[in-house]
Amino acid sequence: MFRISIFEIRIYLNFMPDLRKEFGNIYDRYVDKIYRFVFLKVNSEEVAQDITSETFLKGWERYSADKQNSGNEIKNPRAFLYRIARNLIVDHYRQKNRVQIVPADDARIVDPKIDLQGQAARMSDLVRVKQALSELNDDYQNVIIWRYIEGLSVSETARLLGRTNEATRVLTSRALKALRTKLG
Amino acid sequence: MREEELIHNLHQLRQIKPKKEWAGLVKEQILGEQESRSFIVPLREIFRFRRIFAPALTVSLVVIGLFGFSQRSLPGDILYPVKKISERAQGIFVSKDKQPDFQLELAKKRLEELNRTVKENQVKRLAPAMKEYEATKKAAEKEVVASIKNKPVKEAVKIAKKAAPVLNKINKQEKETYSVLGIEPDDEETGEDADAEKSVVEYLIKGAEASSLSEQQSKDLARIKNYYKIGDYEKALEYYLTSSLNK
Repeated sequence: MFRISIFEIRIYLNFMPDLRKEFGNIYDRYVDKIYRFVFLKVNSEEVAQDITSETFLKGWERYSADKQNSGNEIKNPRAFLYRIARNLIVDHYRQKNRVQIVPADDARIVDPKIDLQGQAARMSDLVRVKQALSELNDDYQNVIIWRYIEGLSVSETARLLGRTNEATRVLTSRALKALRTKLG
Repeated sequence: MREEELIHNLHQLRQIKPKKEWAGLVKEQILGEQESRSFIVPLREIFRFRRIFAPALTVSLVVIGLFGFSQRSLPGDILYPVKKISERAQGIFVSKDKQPDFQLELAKKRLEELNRTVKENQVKRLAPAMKEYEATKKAAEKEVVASIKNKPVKEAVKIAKKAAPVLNKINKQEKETYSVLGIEPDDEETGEDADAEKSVVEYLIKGAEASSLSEQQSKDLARIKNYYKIGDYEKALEYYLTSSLNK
């Protein structure tokens, strides 16, 4: 005979709604940012939706598993979600046999459909900037998105990039220069 | 394009946002938040829904099953760590003022395990069971001392009165179990170990001193104080519980 207390069952069953609430807050806070990050890299609404939903799905699986198994909390949800999104973007291009992350600045990743839209709105500065941004290499894109679009500080960006503040400053300056060159 | 202009345009890209309906739908499906509104769920989303909940349900059943079976496990068993994890989980939900009771209950549980190990003559499990009991008892005593320290006298007396019978029961049971094994319990307690009984007795005495006592109660208190003075806190505790002061 074994005995399992009602208290233990209650703990387990009560755990999930709390976790859902916590992760729901994380979702609300970061869904726009993650979607924007992905969209600027893949230039397709459909692909951005797929990758963003997959990012949060993986995030939720990991978050709930970690909390229940070890009680560990993911200390930096932003870095955690961006890391998942970046891996999924890499997988996306790998599966599609497209090369996105290359050191050269002139790698084109633009979806042909969007490219047509881009051409139609060629005169728009915003579209031109978005287009030019999508043509930069991965590190340049990341640093520009995080510093200038998301408004993160140098140290926050450095943490996401896994670089020093100084290296991040240098990278930011080079990325901005490369973007301006693209824009002519 | 000038740098300021470029940065301004980059700021404007913040306007890129997912469609609200899409974001809401994904959230519902990932987190399983059911709302009373109907919508057609795309096949891809159903697939995702199943992917989340099938493993979650399996994990739930396995975890509940493991918790159940682990309750009878003894130190040294494969499922014993599961039992300890479930106890730790319980501990998280116990309020700070109830922690001494909770920890003392755990010590009682560890002692029962040791007792079972002895009765069932499970020689291999004896060493881990003793180790578990001693570590848990130490943690419980530490918790009792911590909860009494820096508390107003009235509150400390209340905690001491609550902890006293459990501590006494543990002491008695410990003696019985160890006598079966033919070993003496480690009486040379130092630091926090000795402090738990000392603190409890100290506040039992303070509580008694603060109230009006009958002749018999005064005699009993004098005897308890005597035990306390000579450092026999265990005896003082035992005597208190059987004396007129505990009526």
